[in-house]
Amino acid sequence: MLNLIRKDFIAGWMFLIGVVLIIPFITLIAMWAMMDDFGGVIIGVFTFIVMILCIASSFIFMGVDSAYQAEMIYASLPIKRSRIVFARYLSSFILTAGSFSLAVLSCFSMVYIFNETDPAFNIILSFRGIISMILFLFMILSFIFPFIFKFGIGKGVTAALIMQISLMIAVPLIKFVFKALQGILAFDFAFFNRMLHTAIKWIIGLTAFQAYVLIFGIVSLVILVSIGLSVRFYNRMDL
Amino acid sequence: MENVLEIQKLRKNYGDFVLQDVSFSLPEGYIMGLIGPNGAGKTTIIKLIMNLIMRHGGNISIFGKDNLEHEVEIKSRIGFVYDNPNYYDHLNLKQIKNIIRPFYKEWNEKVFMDLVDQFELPLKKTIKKFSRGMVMKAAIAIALSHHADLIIMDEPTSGLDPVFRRELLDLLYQLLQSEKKSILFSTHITSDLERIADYITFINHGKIVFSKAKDEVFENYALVKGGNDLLNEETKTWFTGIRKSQFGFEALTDDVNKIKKNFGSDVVIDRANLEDIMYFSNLRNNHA
Amino acid sequence: MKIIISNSSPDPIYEQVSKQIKAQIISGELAEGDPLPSIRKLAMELQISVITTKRAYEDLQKEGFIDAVSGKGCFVAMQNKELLREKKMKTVEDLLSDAVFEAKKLGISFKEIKEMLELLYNEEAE
Repeated sequence: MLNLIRKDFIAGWMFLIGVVLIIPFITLIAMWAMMDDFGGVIIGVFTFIVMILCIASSFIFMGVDSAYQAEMIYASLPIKRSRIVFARYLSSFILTAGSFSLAVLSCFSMVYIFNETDPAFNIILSFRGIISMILFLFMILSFIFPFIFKFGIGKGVTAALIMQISLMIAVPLIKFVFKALQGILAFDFAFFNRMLHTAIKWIIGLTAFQAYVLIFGIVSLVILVSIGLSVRFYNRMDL
Repeated sequence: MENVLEIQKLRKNYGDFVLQDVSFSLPEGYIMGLIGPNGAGKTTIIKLIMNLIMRHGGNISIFGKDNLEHEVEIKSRIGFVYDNPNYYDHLNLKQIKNIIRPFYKEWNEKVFMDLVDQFELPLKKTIKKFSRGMVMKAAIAIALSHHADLIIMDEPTSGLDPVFRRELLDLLYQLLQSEKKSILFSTHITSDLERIADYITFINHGKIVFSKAKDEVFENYALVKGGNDLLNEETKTWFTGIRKSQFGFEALTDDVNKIKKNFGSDVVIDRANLEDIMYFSNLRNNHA
Repeated sequence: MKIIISNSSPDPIYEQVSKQIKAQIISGELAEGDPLPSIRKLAMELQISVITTKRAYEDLQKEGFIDAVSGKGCFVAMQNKELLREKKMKTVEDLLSDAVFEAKKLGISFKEIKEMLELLYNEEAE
């Protein structure tokens, strides 16, 4: 499997240069914009852009392989397709975490250079903040990957995005529908609300350690399920 | 004598194209030509053998083992050369070799270098600058550098000049000196196979037309030429493809003796080559 | 050993090979015990298929012209002197029979053929 990751870097290192240059550049712009006291908004936008970049950069290697149709070769080598999937996840996670770390470093550098900071920054740039962001990125990737292994990179990413947007629309939509039905069906949502409150109380009551364990547990579960699905899909895919 | 490759009732459905009931075997130590017009199913069969696409029915066993259950073990002994080999254009041969090499336990660097020398391939030039022939040679060099026992080639000579094609044949002859190496060579340029192939499998429209020893094919098939007056409802059925002109007909038969017996010296009988067999078989299908 | 394959010959390739080897054994160019190239080497040298050379050798083996020694290859078999002479006679007989057939077809008399044969035979001797 190391061979697979190694080949990614051999074949795609020059495409990483773009990433390495863009991230500090964007950080610089954000810092400069923040000095005009638009603080919170800028940070929100900045964070959003960085996240998109991290996700996008993790697809670089996949894009390279897809463009050169190298998949056929790898699938003909004496390795299992599941190995190929694992290596993809691994190299993508490495790229994402790496890009994000680069962004964090840029931020710290800028803060140091400009001697300016913002409370929002402190939250994001705390240890907890960084870990949470990276785990969140992993979760997003885990959501997208099975689509890619089922439909290929182009259609897969599109399908995943559509899914995500639909989900974002669906949640308030469902809430609205439920509220509307509440009157008609006289369904007791109080039960759900109580459950929700109990859960939230419990979560808030956790110690830091317990919280970490819970979060790692959930993220690991999501990743495992995602890998399971991806392997399933890729094993059946016609190349 | 063991079969290095055994395919039974292989099936793949693409909607408008169906590969059905494909069965044939290649005994160890020999070379089989897989021939057929474009779109007949040759590449599909090869992809199914290499498990690049999923089969919808049938069995494939290589080296006596099922190609799905023992995929990794089998693939380490297969050297493959695909039509339009896909390599990273922006890398050079050395880098590509370094990418592929670690996957094969039996990789032999000396063999690779010898072949690179023999083919006169530059190691440091990017693949983008390679001619098509050079890319093919590179693919062949890689395929032959890990002691593969089965070499599978999909249209390795299309788009290449006759000189290269001859050189490739020389190379294949050398490979075959070992009784343990077998070759499956798919092509629509049949002249490449006329001399070297031990077995010929002819596929058309997703079905196997025949799979036999080459000598047997040439013994039974022949071109028959005669006057149009000889053709009637009955005699037409003796041929597998008829081309009529103003001055006579030309047809393919798969039973030379029958024709000789029935027509005697009323017809001219010529040796049919693989191209004739493919062409006339296709004619028949278009009428059927 | 000399073997030449012709693509325009009516004989199938394996027959061309076995006939030529047979002729050389009969004429003595290939002596008893002489080793023959392996079927794969022969196929490569002549640029024909392995199965073809295999068949040629199998036919020669069947007719008793060569022996296969497992692990070592094929060798020219010990030839029965009588049988050899008979085979030599047969070769010439076949050729003469073809000539006779042609002569009869063309209406050439036995006397004329005899004269022709004398001329040709003496010509060769000079």
